Parts: sequence; structure tokens; C-alpha cells
Amino acid sequence: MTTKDGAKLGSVALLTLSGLFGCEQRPARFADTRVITEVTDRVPIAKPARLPDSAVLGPSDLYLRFALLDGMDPRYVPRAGDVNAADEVVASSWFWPDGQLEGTTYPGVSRTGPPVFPLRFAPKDASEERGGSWMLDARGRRFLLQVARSGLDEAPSTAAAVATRLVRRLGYLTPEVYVRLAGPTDVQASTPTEQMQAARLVKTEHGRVRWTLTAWQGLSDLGATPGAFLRADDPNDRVPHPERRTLRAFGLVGAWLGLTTREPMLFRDVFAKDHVVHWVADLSGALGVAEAQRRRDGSDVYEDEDFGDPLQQLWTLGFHSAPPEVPVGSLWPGAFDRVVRARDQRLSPPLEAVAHAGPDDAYWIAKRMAAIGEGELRSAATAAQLSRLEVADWLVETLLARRDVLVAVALSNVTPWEVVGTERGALVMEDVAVRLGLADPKTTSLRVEFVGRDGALLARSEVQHLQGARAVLPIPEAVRGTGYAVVLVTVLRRGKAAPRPVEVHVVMDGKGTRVVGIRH
Amino acid sequence: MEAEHSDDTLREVGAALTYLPRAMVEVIFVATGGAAGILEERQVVPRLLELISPERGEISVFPTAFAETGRPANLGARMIANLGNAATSLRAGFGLPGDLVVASRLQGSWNFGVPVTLSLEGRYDLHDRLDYIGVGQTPETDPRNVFLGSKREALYQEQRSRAIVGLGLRPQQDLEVLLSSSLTLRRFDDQGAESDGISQVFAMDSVPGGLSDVAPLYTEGALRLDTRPERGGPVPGWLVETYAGFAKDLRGENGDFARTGGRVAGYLPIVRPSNVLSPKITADSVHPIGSSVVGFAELARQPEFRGSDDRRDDVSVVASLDYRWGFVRYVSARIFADYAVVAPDLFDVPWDEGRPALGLGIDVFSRSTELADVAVAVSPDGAFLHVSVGERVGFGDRQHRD
Repeated sequence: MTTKDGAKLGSVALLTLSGLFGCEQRPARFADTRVITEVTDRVPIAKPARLPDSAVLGPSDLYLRFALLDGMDPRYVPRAGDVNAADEVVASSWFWPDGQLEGTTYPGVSRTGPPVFPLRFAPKDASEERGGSWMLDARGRRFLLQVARSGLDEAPSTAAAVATRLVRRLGYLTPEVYVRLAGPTDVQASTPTEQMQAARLVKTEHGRVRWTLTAWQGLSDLGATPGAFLRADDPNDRVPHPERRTLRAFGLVGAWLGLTTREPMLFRDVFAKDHVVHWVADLSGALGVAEAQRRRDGSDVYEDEDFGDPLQQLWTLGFHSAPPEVPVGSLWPGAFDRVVRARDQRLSPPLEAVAHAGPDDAYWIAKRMAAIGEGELRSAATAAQLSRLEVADWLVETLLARRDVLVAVALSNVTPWEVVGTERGALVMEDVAVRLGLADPKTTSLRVEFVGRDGALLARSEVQHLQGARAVLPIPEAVRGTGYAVVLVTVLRRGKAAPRPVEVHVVMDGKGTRVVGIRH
Repeated sequence: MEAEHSDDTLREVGAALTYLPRAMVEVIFVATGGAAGILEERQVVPRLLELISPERGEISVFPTAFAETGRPANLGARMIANLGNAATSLRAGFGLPGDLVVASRLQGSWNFGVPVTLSLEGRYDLHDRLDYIGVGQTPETDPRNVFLGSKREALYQEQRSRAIVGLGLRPQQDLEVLLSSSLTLRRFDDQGAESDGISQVFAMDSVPGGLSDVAPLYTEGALRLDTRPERGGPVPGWLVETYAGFAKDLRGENGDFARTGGRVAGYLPIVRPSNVLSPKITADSVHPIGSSVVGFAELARQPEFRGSDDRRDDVSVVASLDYRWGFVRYVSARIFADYAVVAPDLFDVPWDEGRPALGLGIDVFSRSTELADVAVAVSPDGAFLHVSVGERVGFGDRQHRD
């Protein structure tokens, strides 16, 4: 139980009353138009103000205010607001699904490419104070240079390089991150001050120093991305952030990548030429690195206290044990292993949108995670330039194991069927779980219900024991005559129905049968 | 495009009904840094970090509520304008049948190498049907009280107008120096023709200072060492506070007097940092200067005691033991035990005649301040319920106490 759950108790009377009236649902109706795949939220605007981190990441606001307000609102959590009729997130300044591991084809942000040595110091900009040095490479491209911290050795730079690529591959917009081994000749200094700074940048006890170089070419930092509110000075920012599927689904992304903390640098708004782009900017805490670092540094009472089950904690006067911590391995110095825990989906401080995440949001990101091949994982691990190849292999295996668990769970909470097309007026659908090898078609069957626009049941059918991942679902003639119907498909595995059906909205007229909307 | 549920309308109605509480939660979180002092109505000097990055809020108005057994429920509203380093507050509260509180406060906080806070305040309050049961730990048998009949409890009305100026410095991270001065115009009323007015229950010669109007000018210096990193919730640390003040009655009805006292509290972590065992002892005293008389309303009382705060005398000692544990972030539960005693002299405290109180409660807090709390306490005087939201009535430094 969370604070939100506790606050929900306040609405018990209302909800009980609503229960007396029943809770039937009348399906949505989709327009018979082209599916939108991109929104143009990059209308030129004046540069917005830079938000202080405290305005976005106030601990009591994050832990208490949002949960209380949310819990006191009895209305249904709305579905994600950045998805199209095909139940996919549309491309925007938040999400650009171009399949890239490095760089992006997003308009307005050109690919920087790897840094070309030697580097020199960039002019200082007081508005962009960071934990690193601003540098220009030999081509004049701007990078943020961070020297690998001692203690955790290669871990933060590896986490940044690997996780940034995977998050980019999922479709989120990220800066390009490169890990490079460098020596004294790789940085140029023209003044005595720069010479002193350069000496610090290349100082190492073990041969060449390890640098993380993050590309920030032509971008201006506007501060942490608000999780709960819209930017007042960005007219392109229209969808409430808790209703963005990209943010709602980030709990699952964090669980996969072993990211437990929401550092101020994680989500950043940046000004790219004439509009705001929303970055997932700093993933150096992923792969359990931030968690291991937190334990090394000591804990803060509120931000890092794990209360476990609040009710147990209350009744036991605070002596209820917190869940066991993830062990820090000897091969990899992060708190990261093959076991995925339910609490891994919670960032700390919390990301507001994650509290609104539904099974459809998790299913969407799970599909995207499953689409990343082992080869791409290896490419990401290779980019980290790890000194020990067995660590790279271990990371790939661990990421695959964690991914498979999360995908399997996410797919089991919905009916993971997709429309492939129509065939002579029938729907052709595919079972994503079977396609991914997570379910056996022989023990899979379907319950199909045809519902009218008013929610009334028109017809029902079943499909037993599939032969493969696909099934053809004919639409009864009586349903075809209605012109518009919702096909509710519920998958059954070994006779047990999935918690929710997939809704397929179809228009049937003289032009044929067309799918106009899907909801999972 | 959104699907319709049959109970959508009902939930919309529910959302409308919960709008006000949600709006209240929304704006109550303006409390931070300097505004925390404004909200709590006790002198708090922001820490340096809070001064460096104050959250600038807009003008906010939110309702306040306070209820306690034996007192009329007080409902009102508070407006806070948090302008970064400066914050202003305007508050009005009403309680039936005749309670009224109006308070205005301006507080500024600056960093002159050390954090400095200056506050100016004007307050007016009218309290109806206040209890007076005499002085001493057991007023019924205390020879200083002379009863006219069988009644042992009397009522009175009090009007106060106060102007308070306060200066606070934080020379070190955990050390606050607080200087304040106030002028209070007190006027008492004997509840008219009611048979339980003070003059009907007590011989007026036995009521210290009687019901004369007074105008004490009170000036105080206080030192507070508070090593807790945060003030709102259960966190480990130590608190040591001492004060000394001098009051002169500008009307000359009562005499001059001095106040001294302090409190010591430990906040000891048990098993985990958010489980805190807190022993505390608070001592307050008033000392008449020369042959003067300290009015009954100026005598030491026991706002720290969570039973009935109806004893008064020259010396008050309250010992308490709290165990507080967080069970959700920014929400904690507490169980507590208090033991309170008053006496005419520190060397004449009837330790074995003290009043105990046992209770439990739940607090909601932010990093910098307490936001709401509910507590139930039982003592030989009865059971007491305390509920407050955005309001700290009956508590504060000596300048703000009722």
C-alpha cells in the first residue's frame, strides 16, 4: 500500500456508492480516418525559462502531494494521451522511434557522432553548471566530459553508454554518449588555468584515463522535465505529463535497466534551435550503479528509506523489515542481477506518471523492449569499452534475462494480440506472446465478442487450439450490417482468461472492412 | 474518444466534492523555508540551503481547521504570499460561539553570511468561554484559591491585541539566536450575568491580577540548538532550547515579571532512522519582580501537555516520551506519554501529584514543517481528541502562545 492507496480510502464512500450503480462501460468510438503517427509539437517558440531542480523535484511534493491529490480524486485515471488509434505512441519531441542506438533522425537535432581528439576547453556558460567539463572536439562539436569516478571504476560510464543506447533504441530521445580512453595528448590547453584543468582530466593511476563524453551540440538546458505539470512557457507542451505513456512506461524501463533513482539530470528539457525537446539525459546510475553508490555514500532518511509494506510498518511500530537489498556483485560493482523485483519499477524520488501506468502502457513498452535483438545489446555493451570482455557478456546475459521476465509479465496482463490485417472481411490477428515464444499456441484459445457502438453484445464466438501465432476471426453477417462494431478478443492460456481483452474497432461498409482503432 | 463508464457522472460529482480538500493539499505545500515559519507561527530561521534556493510561490489561500476536545472547533482561512526570501501571511479563524482570530505577519529572510530572519506581526484574538479552575496542581484544595460556592470551574472571555517583532539569526548550522519583543493589550470579561463567571465562582482577591486590563511589553532572548536535519518528521538529533524574558505592564495594573525556561529533547533512532524515540522535558517559570503580581493569564501553562491544558502556576514542568515511526514517506505514527505538573516554586514541585496522559496519533509533514495531525490522548481528566490541518493553535514560542 502506498500513500496514494491510503488516500484512496477517503473516497471509499463514493466508490461504494458507485458500485451500487454498477460499472458498465460503453466503448469509445474511433473516427474512420488515417492513423496519426506523428504530432508536430515543434512549432517555433521563444526560449522558455530554466526551471530550478527544486521546482520539479521537491521531495515532499513528489512523495506526498502528488500521491494525496491523486488518491483524493475518484475519477478514473485517463488513458494515455500521447497514443494514436493503433494504441501506439505517436512520434513527437518526447519520442522518436527510428530504431537508432546512437544519435537520432529527429528533426532539429543533428547527429553529432563520436568525438574527434584532441579536445579543447569550450567557453564557459554559467547557466549550464554540470558535474563535468564542457569541451569542443577537433570538429568544434560540444561535449560534456566526465572522468570516470574512482570507487565504482568503470561502472557509471558503462551504465551511461549501455543504458543510453538501449533507451534510445526504445524510442526515447537521448544525447549521444561515448566512452573513450584518453591520454595527455588528447586535450589541448592554451592558458595556465586550462593546463591545470587538463592535468586533472588526464590524471590516472592506471595508464589511460576513462572519459564519458556526452554530446550537447546546439542544445541549451532548460532544467529537469516536470513530472506533474506542464511547462507554462512552452505552448507545444499540451499533454499532461502524468498522462504521457512514454513517462508512464518508464517504470518498466527502469526495472529492466536497474535504474532506481530519479536524479535531477535523468529527465531534462533542452532547447533545440526553436523548440523544446525532452531528453532522457543521464543514465549513469543505471545497471544498479546509483543504488550501489547510495549504499557507499550512506542514506538519507526519507529519500532512501524503504518502508516496505506501509501497513505492516504501521502495525509493527516501524520494526517491519524492509525487503532484502539487491546484492552487489563481484564481477559488476552495481546492485544489479538477473532477478527482477516488483519494487524495481519504482524510481526514487517517484516519477509521477508511473503511478498512472496501466497494463496497456506496460504492454506497449514491453513490445518495444522485446524487439531489441541480442546483437543490439552486444553493440551497446561494446560501446562501453569495458576492459574485461566477460563483464560485457555478463551484462548482456543479465539484461536479456531481466527483459524476458518483464516482457512475460507485461504480456500476461493484457491480451497481447495485434491486428495484422483483414482478409475477405475477416480480421487477421497475431499473438505476440506466441510469436516471442512465451506461450504455446496449442494451449491457447480465444474468446471473441462482437459489441455494438452502444455496448450491446451482438455476437460471440471462440477459437480453440491455435496452430500458430496467427488466427483469422470472421465477422458474423449480423454484425457486418451494423456498420461499426467493437471486437473484444480475450486470450485464454490453458483455459485461464487474460485479465482484459483487446478491443478492435472496425468499420464495415461498401468499401470493405477497416480497422479504425485498437486498445489493449 | 474516451470510453464512458456508467459511474463517470458519480465520480465527477465525487471529484467536485473533493475539490476543496484537494485544493487545500495543493496550496498547503507552499510551506517551505521562510514560509514554514509563517505557517507554524513560531520563530524559525531558515537554514542556509533553504535561503539559497527558495521556492517562489504565488499568492495562495487555503482553509484551516483545528479542533480539540473542550474547545470550539476553529475554522478559517490563511493566505500566504511566498515571494522567495519574503513571505506574508494573513489568517482569520472563527469558532462558535464567540472565538475570533485575525493575524497578519510579514517575514523576510536574508543571507548576510549567516541566515537572518526579521518578522513583524499583528494579531487580534477574542476567545469566549475560557476555563479558569484556579492556580496550582490541585486547585480544588490549593489554599490560594478561594471558592464562593460549590462550583470549581469558572469561565471568562479574553480579548488580545498583539504586535510582535522578531529577529532570528542562525550563526551555525544548528544554532538559532532568537530575539523578540511584543506589546499585548489584554482585556478580560467575566462572561456577563452567567453564574459561572470568575467573579461568581472565585473570590476575586484569590485570582492573581484579577480581571484588570493589562498591557505587558515583553522582550525575550532565546537560544536553540537543534541538530535534526529536518524539522517536519521523525529524524534523529538533539534539541536544546533556553530562554529568558522580561515583561513590564505599561498600564501599571500588574507588576513586572520575568520568564525563564527551556526544553531538552533527544531524538534517538531505534533500528531504523525513521523510528525515533524522543524523551523531552520542558520547564517554564515566571518570576514576579519585587512585590508585583503576575496576572493569572501570564502564569506558566502547559501547551506541551496533550491532556487538558488547564493548570497554571509560577512553575510548570512537562516530561514526555514519544515514539514516532514513519510508515509511508512523510507520514508517521506516534505513541506518547506525558507527565505534567505545576507548582508555586521549583523547589516545591509535587512530583507525585503530576497528571499523566497517554495517546497515539498520526502526522503528515513536509521536510520543513508539520502539515496536519490527528491525535487521541487519555488522562485522568478524560479523553482528548486533537485535529489540525494547516494550523498550530495553542502552541508556539512564548510570544505566540494562547
